Amino acid sequence: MSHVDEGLLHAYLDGELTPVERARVDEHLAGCAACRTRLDEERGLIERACKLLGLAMPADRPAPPFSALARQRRWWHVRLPLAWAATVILAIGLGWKLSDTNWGTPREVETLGGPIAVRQSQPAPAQLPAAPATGRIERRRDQSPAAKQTQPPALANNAPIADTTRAEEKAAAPPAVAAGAGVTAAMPAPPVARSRSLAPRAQAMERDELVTVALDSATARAILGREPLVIPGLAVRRITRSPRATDEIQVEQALDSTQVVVLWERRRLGRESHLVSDSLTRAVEQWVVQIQGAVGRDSLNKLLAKIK
Amino acid sequence: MPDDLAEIYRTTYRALVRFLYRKVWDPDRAEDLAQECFSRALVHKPDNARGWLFVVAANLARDEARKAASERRHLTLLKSEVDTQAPAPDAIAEAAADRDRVRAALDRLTPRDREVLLLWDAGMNYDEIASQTGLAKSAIGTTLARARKRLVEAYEAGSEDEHVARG
Repeated sequence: MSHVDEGLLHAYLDGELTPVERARVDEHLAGCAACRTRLDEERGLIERACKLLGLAMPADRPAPPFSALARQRRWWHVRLPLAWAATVILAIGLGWKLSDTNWGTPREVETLGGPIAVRQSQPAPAQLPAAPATGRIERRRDQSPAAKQTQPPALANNAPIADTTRAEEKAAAPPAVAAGAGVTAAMPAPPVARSRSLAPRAQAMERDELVTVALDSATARAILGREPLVIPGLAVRRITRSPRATDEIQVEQALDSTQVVVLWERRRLGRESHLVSDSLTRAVEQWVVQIQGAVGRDSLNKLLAKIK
Repeated sequence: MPDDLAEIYRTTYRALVRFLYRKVWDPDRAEDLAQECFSRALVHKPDNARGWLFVVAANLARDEARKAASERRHLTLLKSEVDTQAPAPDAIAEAAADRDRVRAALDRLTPRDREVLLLWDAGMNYDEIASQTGLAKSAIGTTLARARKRLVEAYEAGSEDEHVARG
């Protein structure tokens, strides 16, 4: 046998040789002084390396009991699905809350020449009385003086045309447009050009249900078949078409200079034999009124109860 | 399986902590990772639990090293603050210096040599190391011989450098 190489010597010293291999190495070492010397050197190297590694030892702390580890694992088994369930519930709750907040909070308000200019695709309630066109289009976000003239709606009836283009459009407006939109001709005619310019806006409104349309009280009366229901003693800030349905209006009433409650009003459908009792909704004869506002539920209920 | 694993836990836990410690160099973290390995073993129920544990440990330590690399600068700053505020007693300081020299020496090894050396020191036999590293069993002795030699040389070279630096 030739000399024993380093690897074999280390395997020999580590006790990792098979009995046959070990016997061969022993046989060689017995007759080879050079390999015996190297064996001693390698033994010293292993001891030295082992000692060095011993200098880099973690503190010898007792291992936690295995049963505790198993319990911890079982707890994780429960906790992880629980965490997922909590996440899903939170997401659903947040989504519900956001959607609930949005439908009562219009982002945009536009004052139009009448409901038909916006909702041409939907049949207007029958027997609409004369509803003067306001002749202006404005947005709540607009802080210009013209924008502030949108409130209250009744005042808007006499509001001036905001720009010369609109004035020209109004002058050229044929009365037939209103009739073509499915409304009685008794309504002062919205201008043709204006109706056309409003078409994309109307489409946008169809897409965005948060858009509301300011109404005069006569139009609101035509939709409901009666005067809008209001909470006695509170100033009416605005009456608009509801973004939720064409046959529904919303009435904003001021509690004070900063607080507003909103009433959603529509005719009660025949199939509505009952109303959800906890939804701040109340039936008044054949109308349904729902209330919403940034005040307590009890306060809203009391306000709702005032409606006769 | 839990009974088997309980026995492996009893015989291997400290070795696994030691193996991990020489990779993450944080005793608490090493214990956390070791327990994480056993926790995973309880779920996965591997056939060769002992080998499997060291594979998982090596992977966890590698992830830990990546994470630590990004925090190293911050930790260095914190460490220097602690050192200036509360100097360690001489014996502790000397032990820490030895550990740092060993750590530096281990860092001088090739990843494969270091892995084989640490696995051997953790109590694995040549068959297990070969299975773990993909090396032939016959190559383990040679690899270990080289790793031990380089560790000792690197440690002594590091010590000499320190003496020279101190003057």
